[in-house]
Amino acid sequence: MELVIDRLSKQYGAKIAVDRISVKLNKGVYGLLGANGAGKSTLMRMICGILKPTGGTVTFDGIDSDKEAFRAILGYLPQDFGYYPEFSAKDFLLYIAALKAIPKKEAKKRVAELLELVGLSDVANKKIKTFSGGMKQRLGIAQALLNRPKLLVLDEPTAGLDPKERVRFRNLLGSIGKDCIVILSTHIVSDVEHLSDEVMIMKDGSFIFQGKWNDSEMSLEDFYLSQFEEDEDHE
Amino acid sequence: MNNLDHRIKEYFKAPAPKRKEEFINSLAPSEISFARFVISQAGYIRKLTWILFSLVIVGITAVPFIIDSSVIWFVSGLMPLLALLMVSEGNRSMRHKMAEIESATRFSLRSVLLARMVLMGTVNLVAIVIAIPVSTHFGDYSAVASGLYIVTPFLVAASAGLYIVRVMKGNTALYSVAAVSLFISLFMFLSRDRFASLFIKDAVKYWGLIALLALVAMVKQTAMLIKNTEEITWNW
Repeated sequence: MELVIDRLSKQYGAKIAVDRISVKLNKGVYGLLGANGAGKSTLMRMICGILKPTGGTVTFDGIDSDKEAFRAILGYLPQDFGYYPEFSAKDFLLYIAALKAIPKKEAKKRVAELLELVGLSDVANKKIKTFSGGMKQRLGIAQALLNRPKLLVLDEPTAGLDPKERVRFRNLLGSIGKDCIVILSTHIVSDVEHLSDEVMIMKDGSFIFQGKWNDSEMSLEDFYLSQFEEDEDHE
Repeated sequence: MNNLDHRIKEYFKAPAPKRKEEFINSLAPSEISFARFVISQAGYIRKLTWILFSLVIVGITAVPFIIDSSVIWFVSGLMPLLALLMVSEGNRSMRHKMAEIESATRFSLRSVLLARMVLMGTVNLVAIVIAIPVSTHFGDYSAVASGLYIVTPFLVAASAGLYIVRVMKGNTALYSVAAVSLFISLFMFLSRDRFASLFIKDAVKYWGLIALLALVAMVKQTAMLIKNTEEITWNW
């Protein structure tokens, strides 16, 4: 199981959102850290094959990211997602299951399992519009897991979760990360410290750090914050 | 299950499954075909859309028994409303911010849009197929002229609506499509008395030309909407 990102770039006019990123990822949880506007979401979208790169490639075990076979092994939680207003939690998951080509009988079982996993079983038939932000986020996580993905891409998954939900999410991710590649983006350092096996820090479209954080003299948070201090010094 | 089975189950409890997830992951996933996917999407067309569509069909078939004069104006006035329903269904993913999630699924946003357009196109075709003979039988025009007076407002409203949802965002796009559809509807309802010269025999060929141009525009706009799904997910 290997995800290969090779010289991946995205340019909008003169602005380079992602600048020739190359990395190979195997099973495990990878935290992508960066300030707003660093290029995290652009990178995540290109990894998922929903945004065409200006240059470079993304492949999973040799399968290109724009192929149906790639999407078949993908689970994706976008940063900002909506829902059809008439949908209940169960309707929403069954709908996404149909889009993921899961047969109805199998989908019903999987939906029940996931609703239980994310603690929404008792509100399965309630309309999503009555849900809190944290409940919607948990539903978003559930839809990403429907097809038992081998590559799970989560853009700001902890946004809107309360402390109890964060702990539950950490445990969940810990078990999922054993069997697949999980990439999660966030701008909260503690999320990455607790959740990830490896850290990738992004700034101005490039990685400024990639690997396990082993520096005993400086914490990850201090290093991360020092990047902003450098920016202020330049200004 | 008989009593013996129960007792055996009680005495010999099955062990908890080990490495269940690993085993499930090793199985080839079962999948549904694209045809089945399209059919499954019919269940996700809004109830309101089906209700309004049914009311239009009832209107088309019932109007000859309600009004005495030519029914063509009433029927052709209903056609842009069908176009509105079709465009509104095609625009739902963007309006409700579902486009990004749908894009990352196996069938992807393109297939979702295609399925909705195929489904709505089919039901609209059924409505047109019902409307033309009804209007010809109870009207004063030939089948060709009646067909053009019915199809043209639908095609013009659909092509304009699809263009609007491609270039505008959210509810503003939907309101604009509704306004254009209602304008075309009103035009057709009122045109018999105010623009009688548009419906003389010699003008039929111009209706044919407009219908053809609108058909080409509608197909082009549909193709562009489906093709530009990446732009949709990025911008909406």
